[in-house]
Amino acid sequence: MDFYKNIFEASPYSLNRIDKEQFILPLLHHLTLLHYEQCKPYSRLLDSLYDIHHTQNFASLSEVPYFPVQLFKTGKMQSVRDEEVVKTLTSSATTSQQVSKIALDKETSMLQTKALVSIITSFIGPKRLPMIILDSKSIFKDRAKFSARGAGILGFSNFGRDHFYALDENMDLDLAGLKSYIEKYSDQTIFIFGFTFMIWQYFYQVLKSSDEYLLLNNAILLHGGGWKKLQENAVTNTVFKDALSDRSGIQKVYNYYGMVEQTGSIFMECDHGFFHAPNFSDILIRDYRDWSCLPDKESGVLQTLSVLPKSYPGHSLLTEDLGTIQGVDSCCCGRKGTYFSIEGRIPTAEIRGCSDTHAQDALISNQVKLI
Amino acid sequence: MNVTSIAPFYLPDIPLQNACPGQFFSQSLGRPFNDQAISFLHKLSRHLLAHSEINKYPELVALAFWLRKSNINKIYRDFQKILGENEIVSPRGVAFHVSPSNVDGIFIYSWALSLLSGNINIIRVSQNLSEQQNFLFSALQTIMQSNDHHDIKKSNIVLTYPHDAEISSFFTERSDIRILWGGDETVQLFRSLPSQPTTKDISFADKSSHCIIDSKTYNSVNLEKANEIARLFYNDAYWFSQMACSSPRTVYFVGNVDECRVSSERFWRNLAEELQRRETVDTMPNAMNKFIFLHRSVCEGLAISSHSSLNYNKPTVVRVSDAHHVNMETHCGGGFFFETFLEDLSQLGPLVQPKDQTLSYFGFDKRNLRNFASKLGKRGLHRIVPIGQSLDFSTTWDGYVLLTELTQRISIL
Repeated sequence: MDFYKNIFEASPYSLNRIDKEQFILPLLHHLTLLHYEQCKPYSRLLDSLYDIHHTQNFASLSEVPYFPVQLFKTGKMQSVRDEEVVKTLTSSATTSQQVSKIALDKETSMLQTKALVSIITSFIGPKRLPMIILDSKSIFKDRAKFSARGAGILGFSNFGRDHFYALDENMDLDLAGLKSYIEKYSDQTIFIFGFTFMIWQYFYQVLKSSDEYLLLNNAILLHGGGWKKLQENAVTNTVFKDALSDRSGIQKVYNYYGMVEQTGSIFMECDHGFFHAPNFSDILIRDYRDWSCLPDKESGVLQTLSVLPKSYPGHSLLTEDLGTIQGVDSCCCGRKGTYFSIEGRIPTAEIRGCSDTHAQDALISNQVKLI
Repeated sequence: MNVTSIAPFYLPDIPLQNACPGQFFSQSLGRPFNDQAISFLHKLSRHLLAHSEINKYPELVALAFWLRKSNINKIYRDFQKILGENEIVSPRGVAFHVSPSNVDGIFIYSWALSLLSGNINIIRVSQNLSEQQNFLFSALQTIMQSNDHHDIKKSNIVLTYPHDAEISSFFTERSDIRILWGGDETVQLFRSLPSQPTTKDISFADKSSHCIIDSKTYNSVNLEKANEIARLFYNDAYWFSQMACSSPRTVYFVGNVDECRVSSERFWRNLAEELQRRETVDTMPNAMNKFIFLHRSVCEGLAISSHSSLNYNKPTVVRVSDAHHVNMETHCGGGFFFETFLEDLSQLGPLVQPKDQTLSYFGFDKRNLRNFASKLGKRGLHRIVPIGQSLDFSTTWDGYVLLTELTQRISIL
């Protein structure tokens, strides 16, 4: 418990490589043992595939056991009793029928919130800003399905006030409402949140086709959710930023990378276009050829480590994404810690087999990651 | 309701009624093993073999050899042997084939047998054709379009359409026999569509296959023979990226523990060398799928005693004491093997699963294998074949004597 006492007090990007390792390695070791004790499927992994029993601590991040994030779809990866679960997050099911289930207890949920606050306020300041959500309120109608999209919106709406949902239940842009909202707060910084694809499809495309321009020069836009669909249409981050700046005047556009399996410890993009690991998380890049760690500047499979997940064994996960560590402590933006780029999804394997409808959901899926 | 005809002619997006008009189903049937059919398949074989491109696809070379006249005549002779003295054989009628998406060409075998039976054939292939399938179909188009095979052109059609119950029902309602490749879900799906009371189904459900090696014998073979075994096993396992029903997934080593250790070590080392010779390495998705499958299996409770390091240029080998608990339905393919040490052949019996299809072997004599198989009851296994022959198509498949299924007999007393 004491481990976590001071972690949110400093700026989330204050620790350099050496200090960070000293800080998170014992925590990750502690979590590994905790989940080993509390989560049966996780203990099987460790018993069969790792030898952790004699380690007092890990010598480096690369020693922390990790497993593919897909296992949250097929097994009960939970380290607390059912009664302690206050919230279950699920990934939004798209093409894949199986969804990830992430069980949060009070403490983990609180840690996630604090982490997110620490990260976001370092970008937009501590004050609650008037907030536009480029999504529809109808997402909350079905509370039984607490989707990643809904969780994302709820999580981020804490940073704003007088929330305005710009899309109606048919995903149509409420242009008149939006304009009068902008007018109302013309002298203030407005915080805008949305998912990358939705912003492009239901906000930018609508502005473009109806030949409308907005005056949001003073706004800060935060978006995440992945680029898969946009990449298919050759929309890069630069194209995205330029297009939004052109139609809405927004200058400050920040992308984040995160996943429902590690809510809270998201990776924010800085003004130089790199994602940054905050103090309480880090990343490694693995070589698919032998799963060793790759040096900086080499692209490979992204592994994310976070000290937040206590109620489920999600502190060290192999993602389905390709990334490259661009450096540590040396980004021009001044933030300490690892900074990296994302190159997109691992290409899906062609499944050859006698069976063409075989459920391959547990293998690489096309699931879109939100939050 | 539109479909895309692939052979005899490529006609994209045409109305179903044009592709298969009423008279298609009511035309006269061929005589089983008529010369037309045999010479058609022979020409197809020659045409395939004449293209140097075929060397990229060893599984299609095997198919082309199988289609040769000499082989077909042998199949005919074998078939005649099982006909009763008082029986004559006639076609069954309209055959509807559903091909699997990616085991290129496997359905050609069952289609060829149906063609030889004299049936009218509709073959539904998947929407996304592989390189191999494109190669096959262009050969098929050429031969079908030649003037010599008018009857075959008239009574056979290869087509594709998106999954659509209405179109599929149109075919299944008119079929006398449905040949369903594609695994459990496809089989269930098509069987649920309307049919005639007399419609017969040949269902190829999900299967998995294994290999058994007598350690003592294997340990005593010279290097040349060991390399040969590696080559044969490579063909069995890697031709379809280990995703065919007949691709081996578990290797059982039989002997005392020391013998098994030695042979296991030698076997996988030789296979790794064979991979190197063939320049076979895991692609990134392959490697990722193996990584996921290993972790998932363990997570779900599979007890493993050891595992090889995951390396893109080596087979992945996981030792289990009881292969029972392997969830084969989620198997990732691409060179992921389980191994188990057994003291003798009889220990395999209880491990055989209902979904097991082929057992390939090295170092056992047939008498022992017959004895072993005779005690299996209904537990599983359809074929026990020498190592290297796992993928060889046989006219008896998954327990079906295909020519018997595809024809009917009239007894005259």
